[in-house]
Amino acid sequence: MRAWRTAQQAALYGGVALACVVVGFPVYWMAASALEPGSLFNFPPAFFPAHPVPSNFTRIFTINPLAHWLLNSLFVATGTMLCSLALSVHAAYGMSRLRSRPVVMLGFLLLLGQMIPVTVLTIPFYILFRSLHLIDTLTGIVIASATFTVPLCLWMLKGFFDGVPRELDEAALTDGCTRLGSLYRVVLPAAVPGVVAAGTFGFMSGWNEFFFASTFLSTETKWVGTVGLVTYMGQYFVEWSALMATACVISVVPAVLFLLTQRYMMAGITQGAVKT
Amino acid sequence: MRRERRVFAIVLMAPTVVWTLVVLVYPIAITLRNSVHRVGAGFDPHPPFVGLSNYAALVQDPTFWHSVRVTGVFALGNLIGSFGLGLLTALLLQHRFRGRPVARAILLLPWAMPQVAAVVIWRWLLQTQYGAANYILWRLHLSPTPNIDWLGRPSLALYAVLIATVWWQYPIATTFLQAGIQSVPLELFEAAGIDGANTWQRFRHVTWPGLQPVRNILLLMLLFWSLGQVIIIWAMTAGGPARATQTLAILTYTRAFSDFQFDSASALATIVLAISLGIGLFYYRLVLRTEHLA
Repeated sequence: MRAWRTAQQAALYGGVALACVVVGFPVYWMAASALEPGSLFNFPPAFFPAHPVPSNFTRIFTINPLAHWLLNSLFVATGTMLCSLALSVHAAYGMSRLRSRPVVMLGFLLLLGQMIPVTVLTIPFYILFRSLHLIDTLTGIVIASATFTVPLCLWMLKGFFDGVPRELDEAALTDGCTRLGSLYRVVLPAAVPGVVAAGTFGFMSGWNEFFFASTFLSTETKWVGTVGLVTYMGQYFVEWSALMATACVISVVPAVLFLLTQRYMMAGITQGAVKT
Repeated sequence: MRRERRVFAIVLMAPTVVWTLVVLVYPIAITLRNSVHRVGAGFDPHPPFVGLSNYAALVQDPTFWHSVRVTGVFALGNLIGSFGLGLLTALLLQHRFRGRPVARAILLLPWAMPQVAAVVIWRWLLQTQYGAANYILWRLHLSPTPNIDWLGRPSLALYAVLIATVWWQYPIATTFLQAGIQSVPLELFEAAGIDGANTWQRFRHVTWPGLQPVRNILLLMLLFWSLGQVIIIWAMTAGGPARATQTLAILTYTRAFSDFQFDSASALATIVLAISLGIGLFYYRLVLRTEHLA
């Protein structure tokens, strides 16, 4: 019996280790390649960089206007986060407190909107943005990217608001809060995990936005990180080590953010889709 | 009081409703309109009405049916791959073991990376002459040559794109399935243990049935995401080589922004939209049923 348990434990650790190596190797390989000073064209590939140096990480800022791109990404990500939170916090609270069939239907229509393939919306957005003079502007990208984040943020937040007992907002009202005040001062603090999850989701989606940005932004200094990275990859002479370093820099922001807010994010995503 | 509360809730929702009308309903209306007119690169303000001829042209176009097939294979591959890998990792992570937080972070990390970064990584791993994946496959005797041209060969490109997509996508399946496993009452596992059920029996008779609601919703979501996946495909192959990875979503984009056939692209977009809507209605009924169970 004891031996059987030990064997089971060994199998578990073995399985976890194998899964981590298989899944983690691509990320390791990106970092290892980025630290390689010379050409990466070795066969067999050097699985451990012999003389790791950080020089690629400074070089990439002179090869491309990477600092510009990162700042633009930051703008789009922050804008998307704020835009989707501002809309979804209020709408989610309204939906959570006003439970009626039309409201649930409306929520579902919104969720369907989130599931429309991006390319379907590219043409109408192009027409819309042309008339609003939003082509080649970062504001346009924020709007386009928020289109896809608002619905999911809404569902995440609604789940968390449903978990805040109604008696709490009623109590705030009798204590002299306005209705809006009771949302900001009582309900919102009680639903902080939801706000963190929705905000992180909005930020990450804005940071990762690629399609609208690559279609609508033509000026190189207005590009965001994702567009710059893909364009750099498409060049005739690809310097893989510099490309990997660029990929590292662009990935590190959302990756760290996700690791920090992982628990909230997981709760938020499943809440949005599994419970209604 | 009650009335006032209703009005307040509606006022709170109003900005989002207006927003939705502008960025979702209006664009869909433009798409429907363009799909029955002749619209070229010039965006004529009064385009000639052509009825359903854009749709008729698509149905007769072998490129369209080819894309339907590619979309089907891609969706099926992503469903099987992401669900399978997600289930495997969720089952591993349900156990207590030392280093579980680290393992969970590593296993969920791919999803936290930008999709374009996943593309860059996999393009490098699958590079023909110096790619690490080719070398590893060759050393493990899984491939006769160390120089497979993954992205250049039409027969392989779709699988290469699928590998990158599944790698990026599966953590979301893990997350869903973990939540599903946690919702199975612990007593059921204990009861199974007392009855002497082995690991497989416990999975077969307790975990798997317990996962049912989450499982169905997850599979539908994966289907949606497969239909909508464009970033990884576009950045990796742009639909090529020889249209081997040209899904319906990619074809829509190419028709519009490479061929400037905005009418044909709009008809395509409408078809994709109709498919999504069909799945969406199915999803709606499914969630309602789940809610009923809860």
